[in-house]
Parts: sequence; C-alpha cells; structure tokens
Amino acid sequence: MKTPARNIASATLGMTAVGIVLSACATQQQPFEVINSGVQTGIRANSSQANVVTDRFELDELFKQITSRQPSLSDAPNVDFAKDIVVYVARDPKPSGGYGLKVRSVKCDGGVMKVDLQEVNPQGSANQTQVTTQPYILLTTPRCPKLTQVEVSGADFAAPRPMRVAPK
Amino acid sequence: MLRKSLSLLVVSLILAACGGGGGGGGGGDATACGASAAPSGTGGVGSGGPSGSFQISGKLNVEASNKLEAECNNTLATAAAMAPGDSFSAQAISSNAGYKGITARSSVVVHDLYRLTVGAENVRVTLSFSANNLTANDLDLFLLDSSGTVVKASSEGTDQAVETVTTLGPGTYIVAVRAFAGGSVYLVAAGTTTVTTALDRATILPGAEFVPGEVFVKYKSSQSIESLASKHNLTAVSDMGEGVKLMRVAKPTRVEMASAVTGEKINALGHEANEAIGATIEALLNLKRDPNVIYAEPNYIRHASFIPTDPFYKHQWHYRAINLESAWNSATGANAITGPAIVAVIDTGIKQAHPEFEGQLVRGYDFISGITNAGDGDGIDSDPEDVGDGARLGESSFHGTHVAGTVAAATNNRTGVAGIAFQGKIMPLRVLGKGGGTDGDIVQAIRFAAGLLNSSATVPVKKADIINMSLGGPNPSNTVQTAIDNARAAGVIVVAAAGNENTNAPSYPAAYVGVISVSAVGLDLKRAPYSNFGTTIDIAAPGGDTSVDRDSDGFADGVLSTLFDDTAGKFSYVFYQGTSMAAPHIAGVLALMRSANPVLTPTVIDQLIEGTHPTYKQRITSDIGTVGRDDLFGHGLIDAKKAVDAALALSGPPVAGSILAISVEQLNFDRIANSLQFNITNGGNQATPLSITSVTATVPWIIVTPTSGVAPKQITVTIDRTHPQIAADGTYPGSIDIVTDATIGASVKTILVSVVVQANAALGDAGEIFVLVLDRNTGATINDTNLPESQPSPSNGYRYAISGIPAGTPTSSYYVYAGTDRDNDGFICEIEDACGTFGALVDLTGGGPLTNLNFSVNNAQSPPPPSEVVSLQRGGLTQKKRLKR
Repeated sequence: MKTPARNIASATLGMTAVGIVLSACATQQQPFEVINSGVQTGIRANSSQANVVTDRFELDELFKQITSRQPSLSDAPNVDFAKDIVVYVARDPKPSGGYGLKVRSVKCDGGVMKVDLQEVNPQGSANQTQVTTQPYILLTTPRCPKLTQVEVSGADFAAPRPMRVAPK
Repeated sequence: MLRKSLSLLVVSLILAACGGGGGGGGGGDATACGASAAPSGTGGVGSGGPSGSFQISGKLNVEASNKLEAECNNTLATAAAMAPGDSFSAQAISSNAGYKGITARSSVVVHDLYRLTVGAENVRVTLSFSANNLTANDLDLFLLDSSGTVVKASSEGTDQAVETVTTLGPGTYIVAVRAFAGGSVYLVAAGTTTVTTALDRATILPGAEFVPGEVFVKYKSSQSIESLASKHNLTAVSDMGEGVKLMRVAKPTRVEMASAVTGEKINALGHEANEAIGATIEALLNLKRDPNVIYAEPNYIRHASFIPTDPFYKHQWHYRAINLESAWNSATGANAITGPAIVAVIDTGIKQAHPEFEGQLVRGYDFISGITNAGDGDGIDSDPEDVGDGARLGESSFHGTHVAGTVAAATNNRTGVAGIAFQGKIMPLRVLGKGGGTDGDIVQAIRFAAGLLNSSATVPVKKADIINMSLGGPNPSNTVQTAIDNARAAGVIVVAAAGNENTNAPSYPAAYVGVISVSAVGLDLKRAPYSNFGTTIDIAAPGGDTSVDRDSDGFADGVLSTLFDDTAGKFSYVFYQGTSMAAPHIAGVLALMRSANPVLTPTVIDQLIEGTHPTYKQRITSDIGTVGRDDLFGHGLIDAKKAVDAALALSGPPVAGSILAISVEQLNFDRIANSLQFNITNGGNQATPLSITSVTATVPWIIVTPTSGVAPKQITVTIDRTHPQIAADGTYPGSIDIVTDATIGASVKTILVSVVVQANAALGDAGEIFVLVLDRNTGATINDTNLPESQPSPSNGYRYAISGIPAGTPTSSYYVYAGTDRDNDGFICEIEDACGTFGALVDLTGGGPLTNLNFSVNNAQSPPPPSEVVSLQRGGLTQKKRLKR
C-alpha cells in the first residue's frame, strides 16, 4: 500500500516559495467547510504541516496519505475544484489526547488567501488518553479572485506559512 | 447507545484578526577523533544571589569504571584494556577517508579497539552514540577474536543509536567500533550478563528460531542476483517468487591460530554454531543497508500455533513480538471453571456495536460526572457508549475502542483484527470525555471494577480481574492511590500507561504504588521514541512507532486495533501509537494468565514480573536493554508464552496461607549511596494476612524503618556512615533479619547488605560535567554550573556549589541534575553522556545553605540514564544547553 504518493505533501511543500505579504485587515471573509478532520493524520512528519490542493488527483493522493493508518481504503470527499480549493493543515505531533485544531477565519487579501488557525490544548491537569496525536483539518473554501498564494498562520505555525498556488 | 453519525460538513463564517510570529534554533556537531569535543562554555558557580537566596553544594561520585579515552586505539597491540563493568567515553571517530582504521581479518575496517578478557560469565558490550543524526552518523560494533577475526557483529538496525554484542564464552576478545558513516563521540560499556545463547537478535523477534546461514532477500529488479550474491558473499539457493530469493550466507573463514596479542585461543562452547549465527546477522545488517535490497530477513523456523483467520492479523506484528501465538496454544482468556477473565478498560468508553465486540463485553458504566465533559446529555449513567471526546465529528479519538480491541477483540472470525484474550471479556468504564477526565471519576470506575461501593450504587456481577488505564496526568492523588490499594486488596491487578513525553517524570496512575507501569517499544524492540522511562517503569510492551515501516507491510508500525469513523458513521480499524497501546498488551496477557490460573494475586504477578516469586524463578519477560531491570523497559518485554507457562506452573491447589516474599535478596551500597528501599509482600493467599514481627539490622550502622507491620510494607534502609565501626576504607558486610508469621515456607529471611567505604577512592573521569538546579513545578533552570574535566582527583573529585537559589514558596522545591554533553550539541544526558540526579527533592524553604547533596554521575550501560526532561537554561553561562523532550 505504500506508494510514492505518500510523499506528495512534502513535495508540494517543497515547491512553495517563501514570500512576505503585506496584509491589511480590511479583507474579504471567506466561507469554508471542514470536509475532514481527525486527531491523527497519517502523514508522517515531525512538525506542523500545510498543503494546498487544487485538483482531484492531488486530493486523492493527499487523502490516501492522511488515511494511511487505516488498512481499509476511504474515498476523498467531493470538492468542486472549478470553484473551490482545499487546504490541509496539521499540528505538531502531541504526546496525548486533548489536542485539537480549529479554523478561526479564512480571508481573501488581494491574491492571498489567509487561513488563521486556533489551537485547542488539554485543560489544566486533567487525565488524558496516552496515545500520540497529530490533529489535522482538511477544509474547502472558494478560490479568492486572482489567487496566487495561501498563507496559514496560528496554532503551531510560529510564523505564517505561505504556499504558492498556480493561477487558474 | 450507539448514535449514528452523519457526515455533516461544518460551515463557518468567522470574523478574525491578523497575526504572526517568529522563532529560531541552533545545534552543534561531533568532532573527529583527536579534536576537542569539549563544550565551550566558560561559566562557573553563580556569584551571590538575591536576598533570601541560598547555596547548595555537594560532591559527584564518578566510579572508577568510568573511563575517558583520549585517543583512538587502532592496532591490536594498543587496544585499550577493558574489564567487565567498565565504560569508556571516547572521542569521535569518523568514516572520513582521511581517518585511518585497520582491516580485521574479515575485511572489515574498524576504527577503535578495546581488549576484553572475560571469564565464565559472558559479557554484553553496548555501544551508544550520538543520536542527533543517525543517518549521517552510523557506528557499528564488532566482536573479534584475539587474532582479529570478526566473530560477531551487532544486529541492530541502521538507524539505531545503540548496538550490542555478547561474548561467546571465556577468552580474550577485541571489541571494535567502526564508523560506517559519518562520525560520532560514543560510549562503549561492558556489562556482565547471564545470557548464554551468545546471540543478539534485536532485529529478530524474541525467542524466534531461524536457520543459521540462510536469509530471504527481496531485491530490486534492476539488480542482478549474481552481482548481489557476489557483493554480499551469498549463494542463491532457491527462488521464492516475487523477486525473493532464499540465499545461503558463506561460512566465515575461521583462522585457528594463536592470538597475536595474548597467545590464547577463543575457547567457547558452540563457537562454530555461533559464528554461523553471527555471519547471518552480519549479512542481514549489510543487506539492509544495500539500496538495491527491498528487504532481508532470516529464515524463521515455525512451529504449529494457533493462527487467527482475521484478515488484518498479518499487520498485527505487535502480537508476534510478545510471543502470543505460542501462548494461545495454552490459554485464550477463559477458564473452564471460573469463566472468562474480565478486563476493565477505564477509558473513553467504547463503541459497543463494533462487530469485533459482539459477545465480548460485560456490563460497564459511564462514570463521567460532568455533563459538559460527558457530551451525552447527562452525568453518570449505565451506558458506557463512547459518544466522542472531540468537539466535532472527526475529532474524537475513540481511544477506548482501540484499547479494548487489543485486549479482547473477537478473534478467528474472519473479520478485522485479533485480540489478545479473545475468550475473555471487556468491562467498558467511561471516564474520559471532552477535555479529558477527573481523578474523582476514575476513582469511582476503579471501585466499580473491583466490586466496591461506588457512585453508581451498583457493582458488577463479577468484579474485574484486571484494570487497564491507558490514561494519565502529571499530578499524584492520595485518593486515587487509596482506590488502587483497595482494588489490589480485592485481588484486582492494575495496569497503566507510562506516558508519551519521552521523559522520566512520573505520570499517574502509572507511577502509583501497586500499578504495573508499561513503557512502549517499536517493532525493532527498542524503546519507542515517545515512551516515558525511569524508575517507575515495570515492564515493556509494543506501543508502536508510526514513523517507520520496518516490516515493509505498507503501513506504519503502529498498533492495529478497532476504531470508529464518526464522519463516515462506520466501524473501522487504525494504527495508533502510544503507551496507551502498550498497556492493553499487558492487560491482555494478564487476562490469559488469570484464565490459566484464576487465583493469581496482584502480588504474585508482581513477583513473576520481578523474578522474585518464592518458588517460580523465571520471569515472564524477555530481558531487553541492560541485563536485569532497567529504566527503559523495567523488567523487560512481556513474553506471553512465558507468562502463561508461569500461570499454569502455579496453578496447583489454591494456597491456603501466607508466604513471605521480599523484593530483593541483597542490598549493595556503593561508596556514596546512603539509602535504599525494598518491599515485603505476602506471596500467598491475601485472605491470610502476613504480619511482619520484626525487621532488624544485625549491625549498628544499618538503620531500618519501619521495623514491623503488616505486608505489604516498604522498608527503607539507611547507612550511618559516621559510625566508628565503618570509619576505615573497606567493604562492610551486614544483614537484615525479617521475622514474620508466614504459614507457608520460610517465615524468617535475611537480606545481605554490603557497604563500600572509600574516603579517597580512585575516581573515574567523565569529562566536563554540568550541574543544574531545576524548579520542581516549572522545570525551569534556576541556576547551574560546570565542572571542568580537570577537576577529578583523589583529593577533591567533582565538587559543586551553586548559589542564588531562592527559598521559594512553601510548595517550592528543586531537582538537582548533573551530566555531560559530549557531542556539544547543547543537550546533556543523552545516549552518549554520563548522567545522574540527586535522589530527593531539595527544599530550601527552611533556609540554607544545604551541603553534602552528593550523588553519582556515571555512564549508563543502556541509554538513556535517568534524567529529567526539562529545558536547561544555563543561568550564569553564555551557552545554553537543554535536555531533549
């Protein structure tokens, strides 16, 4: 079951360019849908992850990796890539349960889509499950006009992480 | 009840603000042999401190067996002399072309040599090296005979920071270290072992038999079999299809000649057979490094065992790792007379309708008292259904379902996975909901499982045999400890996960007295990278390592068990990793034991784990890591076959009386230790109390407390080193007599005590040592100092003094740690480092200074040494070091 497609996330990340984007708060809010999420991504990584998916093939490959800890295959959710894109984000690996990830907002700022995340952490000294976790979210949202870049920030992303998007 | 989940998509529109941040990091590299590897810090003792701050001071004991090697010895004649018990911390060696090694007779170039003479007892040699980049820096360990012929090679994987070989019998050996790639400082240690198989099979399943000299090799189609065979000195025997060949390993050429060094010959029983095994391991090691080889494995010898029909069983490597198939031939979880063994799974509840739980459950309960936390609309209720611990669909772990599946999923049903005690039963008790769970709810669940009065106002028809708690938190609670004590008194065995923080900081409930604390190993039977370790670990079991796929089955090497997918609304299976997954392996095996012998008490189980049972001496574990108990694996990896065999061996008529059982036979105080503890327990029927009439030292310089009571009782033994009878240097024998009213076997036993007094002992040399004072509550470094390499001498040893430590609040206290940073990477107490800690918390609320905070800092023979995993901020020094999380 191990396929080269498992490396697609890191490969895609490797193609991203680091840019500095000037931003203003007077930006366009975007609706978004969390189409898949979990406490344990199947993508093996030692740190937080982000990826942008713009076509069905990429989504299928990414979803295979996300669900690679299940011996049974699952189909990726349906997405209308004519209008929407998909953003995948995952937190750093965590030593227990109690960790989560929320989307605070998705906004269009010119050609830059900004995804702002919020972390959920264990409460105080409550007892937690002793399974390692790495929460992730897969969300879909309408393409911003003239979209060239998606930028993820918040949660375990100490600095905004930009990802280039091919023009439509 | 099961709530059918809908695949709802959450649509949100949220106003938000802009944000950002920044970060950074740093590190360092090992240096080549001969170059300085010392840290560059220049600090010293903090000078003064704020008003109300105090100084602590003490001496660090570094045993003489800790040796520092100044330069590599790369000829047989100059090989450094090593004795059993020695450990050498060595300068870096390198595989660089410019670094000259010697060629052993088997054409292996080695870089550093030690000459080791062993007697009747074999010796396990351990090589530990910097783990910062295991791919770029890869060292190997070889055992040569005294003529330079390679007779054994370490068999660990290519990405391991620890390599071991065991000697083959009495004689003189050359221990050789090779830099296969890159370079590293390293630690090589020789420890006495009673292992007689002379076989290190870390990459081979424990207890497995294989055909010496035969390996299966799957190679890439671009590679010709002829060139592969030639390259690795193999002969193709037969084609297994799918690109797999059975190949024969060339028999090593034995050179029967007098040693150039000592004139001796290796005189080892079974030496030739061991050579064939060693050659097989060496061939596997080399094949696994060959990029043209997809996998290489031994030709295992199989015996008829029960093999379940469950289709995903083939991915459950974690059962084969504990020798479960052999155990299933004798026990599967149910006793013909007493019925199924019951395991209470105190967790997130369970998806009761999962097909793998059909017929596997007994009545459970939901003990989550907080309505918000519970998420099922009420407080405690009789339905332990897991409605999720996440905020939304897709965000719940269904952790209890996974844990329960490992314990007793329906098996041999041509569906999904197998469970360990599949003819046993699961008692699902729900205590973890959204945000975790409280001690109060856990206490109620423990009491329910043990058949004791609890908040549900009900008790189970039959109490649980075993409680599994794959949960934890950092803070101890007397209330939970009491509940555990009561459960044990009711005959219930309590198991808990040690935690996943890669630290030796205690996690509760695993660290409570009377709980079997379980650490985790991966498929390679090494400590899983996340697993906690330390003095509270009792035993190890597979918890998985999802960062690798060592068995090449296409899936990460996690533990595969049952789950629920609430976004799709279907029952599923998934690979998880964690000590949460290791604990139910122990609980499941204990259920097998209870089904084989329903009268096994918690105390007897403890004894079988520790090897202290009065009549059955074999442990129920495979000894991995350091010989005997160690802080990584406790008493070793659970072996289901040994466990069931032990249960059956003890399954005679129930004992009618009490039996005196003591956790140690001898206490050895080195030249610095002042206090040790042991346990007195009742190894017989708990219905017959064991009274401890007296615990008496036979010499006046041994102080014991308490001196009487009722078992179980922990006894503290303290040495009065100011007593005139032990003033002079020497080793002083003493003993402690224990008198009880045991009705079976000996009612009186004696523990031997040995105390070393050595005012001006020959000291070892660990190199530069850093000493830290850490806040107990935050882990922050309050102050620190470094003790240069030049300090140790017979007159002063390593002495430290650290000032500027505030008295703090009534709840404040401190840990004191000391260790080396031999690879100068900013981290102390790593695999290649010496390490130590003052055994007790340091409390300055009563003022200071405190003196004589003495403790030992030594190289470990199995890494890592006990160490607190906290951030090390070196207050007075410019260089900042840390301990790895």
